[in-house]
Amino acid sequence: MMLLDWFHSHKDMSGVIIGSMFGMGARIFMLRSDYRQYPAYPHGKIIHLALGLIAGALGAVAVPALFNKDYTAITFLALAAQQFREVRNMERNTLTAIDHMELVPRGAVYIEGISVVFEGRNYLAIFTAFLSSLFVLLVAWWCGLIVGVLALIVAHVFMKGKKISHIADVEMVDVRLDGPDLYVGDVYMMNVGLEENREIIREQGIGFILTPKSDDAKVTIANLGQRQAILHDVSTRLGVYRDDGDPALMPIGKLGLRTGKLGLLVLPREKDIDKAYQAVSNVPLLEAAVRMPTEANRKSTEAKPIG
Amino acid sequence: MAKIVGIITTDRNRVGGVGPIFVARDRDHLQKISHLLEKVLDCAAHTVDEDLFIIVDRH
Repeated sequence: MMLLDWFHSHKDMSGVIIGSMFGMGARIFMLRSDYRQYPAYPHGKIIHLALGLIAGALGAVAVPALFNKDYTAITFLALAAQQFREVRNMERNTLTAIDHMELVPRGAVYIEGISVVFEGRNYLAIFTAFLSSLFVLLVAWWCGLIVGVLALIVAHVFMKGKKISHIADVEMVDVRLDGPDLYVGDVYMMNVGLEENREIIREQGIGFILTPKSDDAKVTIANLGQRQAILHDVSTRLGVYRDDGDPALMPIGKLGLRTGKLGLLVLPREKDIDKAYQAVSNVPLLEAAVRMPTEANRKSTEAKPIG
Repeated sequence: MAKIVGIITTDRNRVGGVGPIFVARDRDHLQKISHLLEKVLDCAAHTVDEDLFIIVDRH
């Protein structure tokens, strides 16, 4: 009861505390080390938790500052934005540095996508903190709690991106070798010179054909960055059957030029067909790879002058 | 751009020009040399035909 009285009598302070709590909570909630294995490093986690706390505190403090007509406090938010842009740079640099040492690299587009998400999540943390703090000050502490929980749910929905399975039908097909020529379904992949490599591909290879569901999807899966992201994710989840110095055993994706279908050859360490299928279907769509040509070519926008 | 960094053949008369050319005794030997070069150079071996392989650098 004492605590509740205290909350009622110190509205500013309780707004800051509840707001910061929800801000930090939002960051923890969004900081999952999933199959992408990042950030799986304890220190990487600490960096993001600390920044999450700072983001939460900034968002929460802004509200009482505004209520007290302390408008200069808003400049702190600009400072925060600067900080979080740094987070994006940091993530990009780290991942790019690591990428050279990966057997199947992530690729620049995937790295860019991940860093943007890291920056975005901090803003969501600020937003959550701001909202819950605002409602504590406007109504009461319990209202702040409710709004905080709602904001967490909204943030969660925001962070759920689309997956490959939303834009393409994933189908498993046979890997076929015609002399040195390797086909996945009817898509020509590459020329494999060494007999021993052909043998490995025959034994370990799994082939997929991705059929785009729309014209927009055709452009998206043709994107080289998106393809590399698929190969990297599958390799992370199932391992790779290759070592440095085996360039012929690199998993690859090739486009069937006539059909616009994407052929994928993966050589997993664990040949688990169901898991491989899941892995391909669940690869996130990269923001940089998504194109909307049908929207750009609409009659209504075509006639308009630019600008 | 990819570069041809090695040519392995069983028939010396079929290839020419500059660059390393390896002449193999037979098709088995051809596979062996190609294997070695693939690992050493970290470049993939490709079949032009049964008696002529090229090593291609894509780095």
